[in-house]
Amino acid sequence: MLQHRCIEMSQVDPLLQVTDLSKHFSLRKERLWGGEPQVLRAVDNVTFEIGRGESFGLVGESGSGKSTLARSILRLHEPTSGRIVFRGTDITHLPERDLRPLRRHMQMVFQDTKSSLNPRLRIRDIVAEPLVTHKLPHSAADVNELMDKAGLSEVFLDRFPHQLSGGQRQRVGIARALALSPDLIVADEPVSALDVSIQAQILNLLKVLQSEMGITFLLIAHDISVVTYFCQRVAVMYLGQVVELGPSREVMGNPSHPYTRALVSAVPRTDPRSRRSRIVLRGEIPSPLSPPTGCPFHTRCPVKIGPICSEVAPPAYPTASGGWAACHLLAPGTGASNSASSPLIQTGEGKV
Amino acid sequence: MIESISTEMRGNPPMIIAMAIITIYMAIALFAPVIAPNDPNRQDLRRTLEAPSREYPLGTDEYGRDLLSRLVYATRSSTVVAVSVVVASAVIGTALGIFAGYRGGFVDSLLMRASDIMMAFPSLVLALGLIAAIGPGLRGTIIALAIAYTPVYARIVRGNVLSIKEEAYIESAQTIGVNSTRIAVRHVLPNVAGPVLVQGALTFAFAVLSEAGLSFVGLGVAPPTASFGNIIASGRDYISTAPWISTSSGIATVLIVLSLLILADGLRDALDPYQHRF
Amino acid sequence: MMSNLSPLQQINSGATREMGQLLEVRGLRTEIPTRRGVVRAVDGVDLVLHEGEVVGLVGESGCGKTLTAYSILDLLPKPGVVAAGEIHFRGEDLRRKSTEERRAIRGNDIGMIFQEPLSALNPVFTVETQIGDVLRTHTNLDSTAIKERVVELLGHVGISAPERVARSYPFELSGGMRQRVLIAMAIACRPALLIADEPTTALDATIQAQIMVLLQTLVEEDGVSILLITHDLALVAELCDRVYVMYAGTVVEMAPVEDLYVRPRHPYTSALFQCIPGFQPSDRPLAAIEGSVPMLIDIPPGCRFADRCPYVADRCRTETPPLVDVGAGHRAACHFADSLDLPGPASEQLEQDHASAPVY
Repeated sequence: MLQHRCIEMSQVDPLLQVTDLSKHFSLRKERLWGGEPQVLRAVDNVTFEIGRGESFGLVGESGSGKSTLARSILRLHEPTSGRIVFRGTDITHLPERDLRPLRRHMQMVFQDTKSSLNPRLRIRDIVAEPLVTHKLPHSAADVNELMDKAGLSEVFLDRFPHQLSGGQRQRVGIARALALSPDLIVADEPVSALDVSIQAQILNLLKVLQSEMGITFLLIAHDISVVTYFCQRVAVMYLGQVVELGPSREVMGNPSHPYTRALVSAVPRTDPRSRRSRIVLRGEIPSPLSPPTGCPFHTRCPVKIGPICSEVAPPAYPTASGGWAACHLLAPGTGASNSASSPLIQTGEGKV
Repeated sequence: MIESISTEMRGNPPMIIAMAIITIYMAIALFAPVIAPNDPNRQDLRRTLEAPSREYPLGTDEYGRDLLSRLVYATRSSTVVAVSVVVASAVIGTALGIFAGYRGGFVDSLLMRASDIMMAFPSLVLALGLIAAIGPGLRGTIIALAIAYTPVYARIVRGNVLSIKEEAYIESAQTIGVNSTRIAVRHVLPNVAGPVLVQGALTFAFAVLSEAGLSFVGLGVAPPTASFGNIIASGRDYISTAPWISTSSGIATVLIVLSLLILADGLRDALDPYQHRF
Repeated sequence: MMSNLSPLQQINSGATREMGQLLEVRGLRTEIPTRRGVVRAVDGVDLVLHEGEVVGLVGESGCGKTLTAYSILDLLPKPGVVAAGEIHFRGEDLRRKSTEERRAIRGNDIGMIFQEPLSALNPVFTVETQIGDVLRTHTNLDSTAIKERVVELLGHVGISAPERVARSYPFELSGGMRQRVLIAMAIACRPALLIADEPTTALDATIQAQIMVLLQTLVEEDGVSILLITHDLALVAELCDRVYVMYAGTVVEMAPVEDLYVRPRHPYTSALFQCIPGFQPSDRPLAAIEGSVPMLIDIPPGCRFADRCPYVADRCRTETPPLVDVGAGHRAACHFADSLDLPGPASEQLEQDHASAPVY
C-alpha cells in the first residue's frame, strides 16, 4: 500500500504539526465471551500543519473523524500512532504532568453550550477557573475584562449557565478559553447549535479575536459555508482520512476530489433562481469498523475509474487550488488531472 | 439547588407539612432534657400501666415510667442512630462511588461486585448479621446500618458519575489542565449532590425503621435507654390493657418515616434535571 | 422519472381536484400558561396552503413556527392551548371537530415528519410493525396486503432493500434511513398534506441532499403538498414555492420564494439573509442581528422587531405594523416596507459574489 503523505504549503512558522496521526478504538464484540476485538479506525494517517495566526478548518460529515482528530491533538484521546508537535514540543506521548503547563496554550470551544459549562458553578467561577488552575494572579477586573472581550455584560457573572441563552453561554465558553491567552483555540462546531443570527454574532466575535489577538484557530464544522467564511485553509475528511486540503475558498469554489465536489454540491444555495441538479451520492458513509480498501470513497464515488480505486490507496496529488487531493483521477495521464502533476510522496516538512 | 427546592415546596403542601414534622422531631431530639417533663427512667412501681392523665399525658408503662418522657428520649435515640447512619453511609458511599465511577477498570469492578454481594441481602438481614459480629447496642446498630446502606450510595453515585464523566464540562476542565482530584471534587461531586440528598432522606427513613425493628427484637438500643422499638416491644404484653404504650410509639414512628418519604419524593421532583417547568 | 408512474400518483391523478385551498389558518393564537404569565407563543397567524404547493414556515428558535404546526395537528405539548383562530382543512374547521375526527384526519389526510428520526420511532418494534400500525388504524387492509404495502412504501421512498429494512429495528438503521422510514410512514395513507418539521436538520449534508430530492419527488410525482418548517433559508430556497417568515409569534412577511430572495421587504427577513456566511468574502464581518427575541408575555404595542431593527423609527414603538400587500402575493408587516430597499441573497448587488461561486 502506498504510504499516504501530504504535501504542505510552505509554512514559515508552524504552531502545530500533525504527522501520520492515527486514532483507533478497539471495541469488543457484544458477546458473552470470546469474540474478536474489533478496531474502529476513527482517524487514519492524517498529516497537516497549522501556521501561527492561521485559521484552519476541518470539514466532514458525522463519522468522518474530525472531532476525534481534534480531541487527539488536545490529548483528550491518546493517539494510537503518529506525531503531534505543538510549539516545537513533541506532545504525542507526553505524560499528563508535563503536558499540563502546555495546556495553557491550547484551549477548546465546545459545540454543546449546555453540557460544556458545569451547571453548578456560577459564570464568575467558570471564567476564572483556568486562572485558578494555573495559579495565575488575577483580580475581579481580569475576569471582567475577559467577559468584556467575549462581549458579555458583567451582570451575568453571578448567574448560572442555565439562566443564559445559547449564544450567551457560547460567549462564556469563549471567555473561559481566552483566560489563559492561548496560542491555539480548537473550536468544535462552535456555532452549529445556534440560530443563524446568533451564529453570525459568534463568528464575528471569533474573527475579531483572531485578528486582534493573533490566535490560531482549528475550526471543526460540518457547515461548509462557516468554514469557507472563517478559515484560510481547509482539510476535507472522509472516513478518518483527509481527502483534500488547500486554501478554503479555492477548495470549496473549485473542488478536486469527487467527495468534496459532492459535499459542496449537496449544500443548498440561498438563491431560488439557481436551483440546480446536484450530485446526490448514493448510500451512506461505510462503517469505520470495516473501511473499504483502496480509496475510502470508492463505494460511493460517482466517477470511479476502475479496480485501481478499490485496490490502491490514492496518493496525494497537487491540485489547481494550490493544495492537494487524494484521488487517482488526478494522476497524470488520466485526462482529468492537472497539467504536470506527479504523486508527491514526501514528509510533511517538505515544500512544494 | 436550594432555590429549586424552595420552588418545589411552594407548590407541594404535603412536603411543607412533612418538613414541619421533621423539624419538630429534630428539635425534640436536640432539646430532649428540656422538653421531657420527667426523668424517662424514673420508676414508680405504685403507678404502673396508668392511662393518660393530666399528670402523665400519655400514661405510664409497666414500671410506672412517664411514657411521654420516654418517647421524647426515644426520638433522641432514633435521631442519633439515623443521623449517624445517614452521614456515615453517605460520605463513605459517595466517596467510593466517585472513586469507582471516575477510575473505572479493575477497582470499579471490585467495588461494584462487593456492593452486589452486600445488596443481595435485604438490608435488615445484613444489619442483623453484622450486629451479631459487632455486638448489639447503640454503637453496633449505627455501624451495622451504616455498612448496610453504604452500597446503595456507592451504586447511585457511580451511575451518576459515569454519565457526568461524559459531559463536555469535564472535557473542558481537562483541556484547561485541571487535575483529576480537583475535577472529581469540583466538577463531579456537586453534580451528584442532588441524588445523594434524595437518597439521604430515604436512608434516614429506613434507618429510623430499622433501628426501631432492631430495638424491638432486642438487638438495637438496649433498655433502659428508651427507643421507639423497645417501647413497642414492652407494650406488646399489655396491648389489651394498656394499648397507649405500643400505639403512641408506633404512631410516632410512622409519622416520622412517612414525613421523610414525602420529603424524599419532593426532593426528587425538585432536583430532577429533566423536569421542564414553564 | 416521468415514464413510470408511481402507485401513489396513479391514485392521485385519478381524482380530479382543482388547485384549491387545502389548508387555511386564520388568526391562530396559541398560548402557554407559565408562572410568570401567559406566553403568546403564536399570536394571530394567518396561513394558506394550496393543493400541490410547498410552503415554507421560516424563523429562528422560539419564533412559534413549530407550535403553529403542532396547533394545526392538535398535538400541542401540555400546557399549551389554542386560544383562538380557525384551522380549515379542505374547507372544514378542524377545531370544531371531535378529538376522534381529528385523529382520523391526522395520519390519514395529514402526514407528519419529525426532526429527530430516532426518537420519533419506537425502538422496540420493527419498521414493518410501525408502518403497519398506521395502515391498520386508517385502512381495512388484511395482514398480507399490509406487508406488501409496507415493502412498496419503503421502495417508494428510495430504500434499496425494502424487505430487509421492513424487518429491521430503528436502531439498526442509519439516520438517513430512519428519516426515509418516517417519510414512508407519513405517506402511508396517501395524505394530501405533509407537515415536515426540520426534516433534514439532524442529517449530514450528503444525506440531506438525498432527502431533499425525495421530498421533491413526492411533490412532483404524487402531488403531495408540504408545509416545511425550518430555520434553514437555503433549504427553503431549494424546495418551496411560497414562504412565511415568522418572528416572535407573528408572521412578519409572506411572499413567493423568488420575490422574497430578490427583494425582502421586512428588515428582519433581510437581516436573516445577511447572517448566512454563504460564500461571502471573509474579510467583512457578517451582519449579525444584535440582541435577542423579546419575551412574549405582556407584549407592548409596536413592532416586535423594533429593538433589534437598524431602521427603527418612533412610530415603530407605538404602532403595530399590519401585514400589508407590497406586491403580488407579497405581504410584509413593516411601516416602511415600501420605502426601504433591503438586500436579499438574490439581489443584483450580490450577483457578482455569486458569479465566483461554484456551479456544476
